[in-house]
Amino acid sequence: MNGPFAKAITLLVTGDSEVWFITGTSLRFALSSTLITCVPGIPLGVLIALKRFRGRRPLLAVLNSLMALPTVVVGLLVYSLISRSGPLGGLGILFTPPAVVIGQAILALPIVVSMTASSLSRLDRQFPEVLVTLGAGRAQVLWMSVREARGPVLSACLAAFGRVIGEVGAAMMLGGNIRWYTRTITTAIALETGKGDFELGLALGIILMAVALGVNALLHAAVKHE
Amino acid sequence: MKMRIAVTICVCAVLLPLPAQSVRLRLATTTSTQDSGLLSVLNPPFEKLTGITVDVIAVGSGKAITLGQNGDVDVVLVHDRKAEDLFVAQGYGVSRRDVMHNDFVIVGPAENPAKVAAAGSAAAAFGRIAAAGATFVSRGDASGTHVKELDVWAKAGGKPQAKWYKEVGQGMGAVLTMSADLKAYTLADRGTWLAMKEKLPGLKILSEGDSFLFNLYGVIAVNPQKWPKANYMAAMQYIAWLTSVEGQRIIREYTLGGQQLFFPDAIP
Amino acid sequence: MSDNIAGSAAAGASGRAAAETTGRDGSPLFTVRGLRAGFDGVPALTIDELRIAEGGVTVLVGENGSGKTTLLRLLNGLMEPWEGSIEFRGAPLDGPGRAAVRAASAMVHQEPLLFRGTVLQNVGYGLRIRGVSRSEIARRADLALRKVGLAGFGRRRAGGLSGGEKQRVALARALVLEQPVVLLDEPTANVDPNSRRVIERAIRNLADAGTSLIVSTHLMDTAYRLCDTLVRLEAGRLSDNSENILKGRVESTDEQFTRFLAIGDGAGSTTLLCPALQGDFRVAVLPMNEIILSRQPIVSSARNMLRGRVTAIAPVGAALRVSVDCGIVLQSLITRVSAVELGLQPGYDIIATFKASSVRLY
Repeated sequence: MNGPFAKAITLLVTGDSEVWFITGTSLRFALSSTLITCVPGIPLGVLIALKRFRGRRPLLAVLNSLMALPTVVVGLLVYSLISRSGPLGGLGILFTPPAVVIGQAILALPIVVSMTASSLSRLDRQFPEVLVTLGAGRAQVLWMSVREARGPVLSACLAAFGRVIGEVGAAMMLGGNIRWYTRTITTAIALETGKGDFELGLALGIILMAVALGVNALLHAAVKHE
Repeated sequence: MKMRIAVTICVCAVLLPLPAQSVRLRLATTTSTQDSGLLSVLNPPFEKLTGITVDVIAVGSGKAITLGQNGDVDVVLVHDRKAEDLFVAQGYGVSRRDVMHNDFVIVGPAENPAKVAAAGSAAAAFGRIAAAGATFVSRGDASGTHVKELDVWAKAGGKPQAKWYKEVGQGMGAVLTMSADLKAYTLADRGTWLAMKEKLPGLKILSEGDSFLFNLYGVIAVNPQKWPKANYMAAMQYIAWLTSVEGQRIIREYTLGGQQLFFPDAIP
Repeated sequence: MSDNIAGSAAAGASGRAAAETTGRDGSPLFTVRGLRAGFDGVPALTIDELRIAEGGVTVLVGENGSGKTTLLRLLNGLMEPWEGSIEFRGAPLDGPGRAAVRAASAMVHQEPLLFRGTVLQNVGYGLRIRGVSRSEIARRADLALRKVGLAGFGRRRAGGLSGGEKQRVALARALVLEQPVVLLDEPTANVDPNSRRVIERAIRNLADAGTSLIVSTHLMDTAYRLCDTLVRLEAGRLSDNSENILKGRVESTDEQFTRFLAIGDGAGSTTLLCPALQGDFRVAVLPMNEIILSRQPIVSSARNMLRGRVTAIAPVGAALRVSVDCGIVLQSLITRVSAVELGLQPGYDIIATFKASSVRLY
């Protein structure tokens, strides 16, 4: 195991520009897609947790099983939409960064929604009521509920981030692994292992883990300060 | 706390990926073509000359054709004559040109348990492998290499259905590595073999030279009638480059491990 | 109109129950009509008619499960009834009334759900979402915390407080909004005695300052101590009051007795004798069935003997409730037979006799 670790450090320290590029790309894609998916994801999760409605349980079951979808399948589904031969082909975003971000956002959505919902359902049922009797409107109830459960909600975001930064199926399918453009650490790993260079693949994998760890640590530190 | 959120969002917005501004040509080609390293030498002069950025999307031969059919790429560079002809006949592609050829080699363990003869046809070699029941690793992914392999099996008595025949569905590099690990036989394109042979202990070329193992590369532009949005002009420029004197020279002069890999075919 | 601040519930054989509470100016704060409500098909509350007046503390008292919390949540619009109507200051709750009650009321729940953060962040929340300035929030929060005996607690973390302290913070969080109507659900249940005292005093202070409060509780002592008006609930229905609840103050105390001056709605008042007790009491409770009526004075061990006039006679189940004006209006429960034997009629002079020990002070 020495080889890959040494290689990883060498790659980073010598400032191999391609490695830095794909690292940056992985981060950009993962951060963007996680942020984008939180916009509908967190409020949806809060709504599911706090509002009683028919079909709530089956919806949660569907969401949970969506989390098990292989990334390639999600990639395929989005591909069929944005391919030139597909309904949204006119947008011309296939094999560009936005395509990867969209695919990854879709991957992340069920994670954010279902984990937010479960973390918020642990809040006291009366919590929204208390807020309402103090004069809070719907948006404020949402905000305060998320704030109260911010630990678990943050964990949901981090879980989503972890899933997308480590995925390769959607990135490959939708980005095309184009050098200096849509190549990420994960698609590069696939490429190198496909070529038989397992050591480089492992080294890149180590770098990916270091990045993911770094983001996790940063965010946890930021929240601790509250 | 609100400040912190705002800052984070701004940082991320800056990092947000946006579609690029320059003219881009999307080229679908095979993993073995990309892995040979030829395109890293062949494309930059073209990009400099024309200002067009070439997006190389390396996938299996089958998928490259599919991408062309769906209009998701502008030009296709593969090595599967039958599929290429069908592609053009069905109206998906236009202006097909021969570009270059390399060949396939049959590699296997130095011990050569199947006693494959150095000279002799590829079909005969495969026949001996089947008779001996020696392990054979197949690409199994409808790639150009895979198609050629199946063609050889067809001449040798049919695709094996036995346990020693392993269809793995992976790229050439991975297949070669596996073959080295398993001490198995496989069919490889010379380019990838040359690029990797240092890292494949115990594996060597056991049969080569049969003209049936000829591997011809063709480049085809995606039909602008079918896909008006395809970058036809850039595709034609690229085809012109590949088949130009300069382009063909670069192809001929490209070496791997001291050996020439590709033989230009565009200019008779 | 009765001086007895217990709501007079007239229960007929059909079980219909209606109640009206008297307030300072008599205008209804809430009007409930034909109300039926419940959960998952199980009825929890049935009220034909109930009027709650503006001003003072209206206490909804009953055992757990009697429907008091349900009624509170219905009044606040947090819950919808199956049938019937509720009006807030004349506006129906399924119309403009809901927004009106939300805008004019604050509620303190049974469980003090405090948010993460400091006491100040909690207390100031309602003001913050109303856009009040930071300095103003600090000032008003400080005042509210003082009222609940938690001066200086602003910077403390809400999570680290005791149960009683949390309940007081929840109270301050509602008080700081200075709403004209405050609803409280079991404000003194599960709370240490000191917090209980502070909370009850804060409630009374609010009432004296003009706020209308509706408090639900299962603790009779608290109910008596707090009420200007008492509404009893039993198994989801209004039930009769069987006690005289009289407001007033302590006149004097000696070794044997305390003299309590009961003050009526009008100009009238009467002194009642009860066992000696130290303290400030504002309410005297005298069970109706412990008042003996007679035409002539009785020589007995009872220390209280008041002359008065019969003002009303109403049937209550098998018995009769006789209202007697003896400076204040007292109600006595007697059997029909006795009424007939005494030949009771409204307008009659009558003497009401009861022991000192029948009078409990709160």
